[in-house]
Amino acid sequence: MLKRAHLLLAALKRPIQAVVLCVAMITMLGAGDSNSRYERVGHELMCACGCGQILLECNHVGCPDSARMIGELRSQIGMPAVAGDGSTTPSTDGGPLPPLAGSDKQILDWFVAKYGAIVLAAPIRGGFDNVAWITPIAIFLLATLGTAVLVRVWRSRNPAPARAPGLDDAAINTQELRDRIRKETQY
Amino acid sequence: MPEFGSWSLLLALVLSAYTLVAGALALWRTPAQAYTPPNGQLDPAGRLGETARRAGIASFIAMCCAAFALVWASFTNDYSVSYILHHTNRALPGAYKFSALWSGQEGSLLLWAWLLAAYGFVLRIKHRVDVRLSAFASTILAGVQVFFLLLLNFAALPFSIQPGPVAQDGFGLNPLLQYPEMVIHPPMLYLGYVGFAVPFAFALGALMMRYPGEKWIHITRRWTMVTWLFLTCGISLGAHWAYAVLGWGGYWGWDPVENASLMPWLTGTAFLHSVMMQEKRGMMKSWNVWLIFSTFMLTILGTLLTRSGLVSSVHAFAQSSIGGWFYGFILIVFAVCLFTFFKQRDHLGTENRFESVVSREASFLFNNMILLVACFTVLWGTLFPVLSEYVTGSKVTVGAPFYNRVNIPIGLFLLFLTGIGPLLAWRSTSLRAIRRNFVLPGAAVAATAIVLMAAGIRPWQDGDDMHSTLFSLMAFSLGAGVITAVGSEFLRGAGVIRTQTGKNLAAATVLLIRRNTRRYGGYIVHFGIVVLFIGIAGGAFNQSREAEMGFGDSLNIGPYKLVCQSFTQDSNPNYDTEYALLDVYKYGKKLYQLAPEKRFYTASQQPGTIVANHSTLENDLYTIYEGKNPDSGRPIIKVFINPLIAWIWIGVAIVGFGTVLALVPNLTRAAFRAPIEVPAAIPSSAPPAILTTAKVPNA
Repeated sequence: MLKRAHLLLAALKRPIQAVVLCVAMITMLGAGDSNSRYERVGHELMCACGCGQILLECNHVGCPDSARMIGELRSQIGMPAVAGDGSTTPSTDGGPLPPLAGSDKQILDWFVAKYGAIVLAAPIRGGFDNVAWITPIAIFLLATLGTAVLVRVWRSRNPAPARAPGLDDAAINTQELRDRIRKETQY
Repeated sequence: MPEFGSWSLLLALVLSAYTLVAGALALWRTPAQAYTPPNGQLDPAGRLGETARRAGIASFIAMCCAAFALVWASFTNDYSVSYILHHTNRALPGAYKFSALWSGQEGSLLLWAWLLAAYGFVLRIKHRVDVRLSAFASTILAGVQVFFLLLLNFAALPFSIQPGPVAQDGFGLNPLLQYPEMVIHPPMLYLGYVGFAVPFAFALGALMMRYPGEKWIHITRRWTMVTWLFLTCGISLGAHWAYAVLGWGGYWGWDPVENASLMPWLTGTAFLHSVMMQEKRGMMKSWNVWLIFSTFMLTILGTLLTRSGLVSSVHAFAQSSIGGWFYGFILIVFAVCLFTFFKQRDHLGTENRFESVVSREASFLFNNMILLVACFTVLWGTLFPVLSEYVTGSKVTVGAPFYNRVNIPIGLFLLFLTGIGPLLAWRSTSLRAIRRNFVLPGAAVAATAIVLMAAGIRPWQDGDDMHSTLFSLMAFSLGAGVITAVGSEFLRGAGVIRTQTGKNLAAATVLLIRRNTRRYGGYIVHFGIVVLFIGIAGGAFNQSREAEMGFGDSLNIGPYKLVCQSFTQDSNPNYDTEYALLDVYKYGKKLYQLAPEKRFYTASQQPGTIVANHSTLENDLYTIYEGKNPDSGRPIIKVFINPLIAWIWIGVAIVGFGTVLALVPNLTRAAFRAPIEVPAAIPSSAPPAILTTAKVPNA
């Protein structure tokens, strides 16, 4: 049985390698203009009004924060101001709008410094935040390992069923027939 | 009427407490055979158990009276009742006055307790299916019922009287709840939540009494499937409500309360799969017991998350300080489950060995693992903000980006298993069978991927959207593979029947399904899940635009052009409204008109969004009236093109159809049960792996 599994794995080795290679290549590609960057970073931020919505999806009437925050984001990315988005008005502390920042991380850091870590839509600051990402992966790996161990234990725990005393060949044939019927009719 | 309701609740508590105590006492004092006495005469302890059963039935009547009293108070505008004052008003339409029963915390707890009483009523009426096991389940259900009735009588009183003079009008219903789906979404969800108490009670009862064999699974199978169906419908109705009412263009926001409903669904789905291994192979008994225990505890945890304010949620309309009660109850339930499990664990030994990694059993095992990992991920993300605050002192948000990144790969793996599972045989699958069964689905996956890439779905060209496009491509391709696998199963089976009976293919397929509704109903559910995944995958190609639109202004998005014909306002006793009329053109041809609006509800003084959406199989054109720009006085309109959204709702409908089909008895049940002659008597000491019964197990 184990040999069969090995054969199966060997047969699938090349396709798996090809898929992994494609995924890796695709993951490393990619660039974006300011519009897509605006969409991307805007979906990494939460509205600070407490509505629990992604910044670019916050649609409250008279939301006290989203328009200003969207304006700040546009300004950070270097996009032109849009009427009504708050980017043409000064920030709440009365100072000028923030200067153009470099990377996405710097923009996110700027928002965290101003609004706190809760403004990030996902825990991405490093440190303890990493635990949020590592744990599900660790659980997945442990569960896979645990399942493999379980299968191994179950396979080795019970010996193959012995022939019942008193069964002749006709009975065995019937038994085989019954097994086959069961295999072919069970869901 | 409030007094009538209060007394009914108190009476229900007394009756439920009696069912619990007298039932437990009777079970403790009565030997197993006393529940099925040959002469039909019950001994004193058996009679005590019978009074407990009847008290349980009576508690349902008392609960009906309490629920009726609250609905009556709502319809008669009885604002002396605090709950009615805070959740209704005179101008509220009748349907929403009825739905006010579950619009607030006290009412929704009353609904929970009433549904639990209804399930208990059915269980107690149908107790003859297995009198002693039903008595155990009835007593356990009564224990759960006592908890909710204690809450309703002492912590969250639905009939509490508002101090001071009676108000002339109420504060109104939350505008978000004034939508037709809100009349059926909460009851559906609660039917699902509460329903899992029944298989839980049967499982715990069977373990307590060391129930021989797997009959308890047969008894609870329908309960579990019906409950699972209700929960599925409840969750999807909630998603549709969020899509149609919240007005942000999406249907699932990974809000803690949404997560709370998803977690028991995931474990319940795992249970429905793994329980088949127990039925057919006598395996995974401990696993199944803990799955159903966990599912029930997750429904309670969900209620705790919804009610306690432990985590931030948009469902803030239902928060309060009754969390302590739920913590206590979950602890008690967990302790009882743990104690019973350790006391009776020798009863849960496996009867068969695992024969091959490449088998149906293995696929179920991996399916269970993936579903539980998904459940853990959702639970982890929901509770991580609390943990982070405890460890670091600063609260973080765990929103959609986290769940999407972690759960989408898990979901795709699950989709993959959905296709693989049915193609594997029980016990072991030969390499030849693998080659034969997997060639066609594998080819479908490859062909779909190539066609889609040729059609323009190329992740490597999508820059920032690369990951979502890649995942969509994978979902479409895997979906094609699963559909091919499911289709080939139908064709193979129908082909055999056609050969045997001479019927045409369609008739043979119908006969095939009717002969084994459970199996083919299950396949239809899998097909529905694929359709649902295709709808979700369409989300990678969403587009949105926002613009101020005065008279005659236009907005272009995708192939559509929207022209503002007018914008105006209106009012009625319940709300004031502003709306815009937008003509929609496609390739220069006028198609239809949309009228997104924004309402301002008079009684509650809160705004509400009414989305205008035109849905087709290809995409939804989804428009939102966001309000007026105070500077220009012109409405701000946000427009989304959401591809394939309708497939999600169709997928859910197919899942529902498949589940109902799986509940229908097989056409040839009697024929399947016809005995096969077994030569000579097989000694009773024969190993369990060798069949000693005289019947082929019913498929």
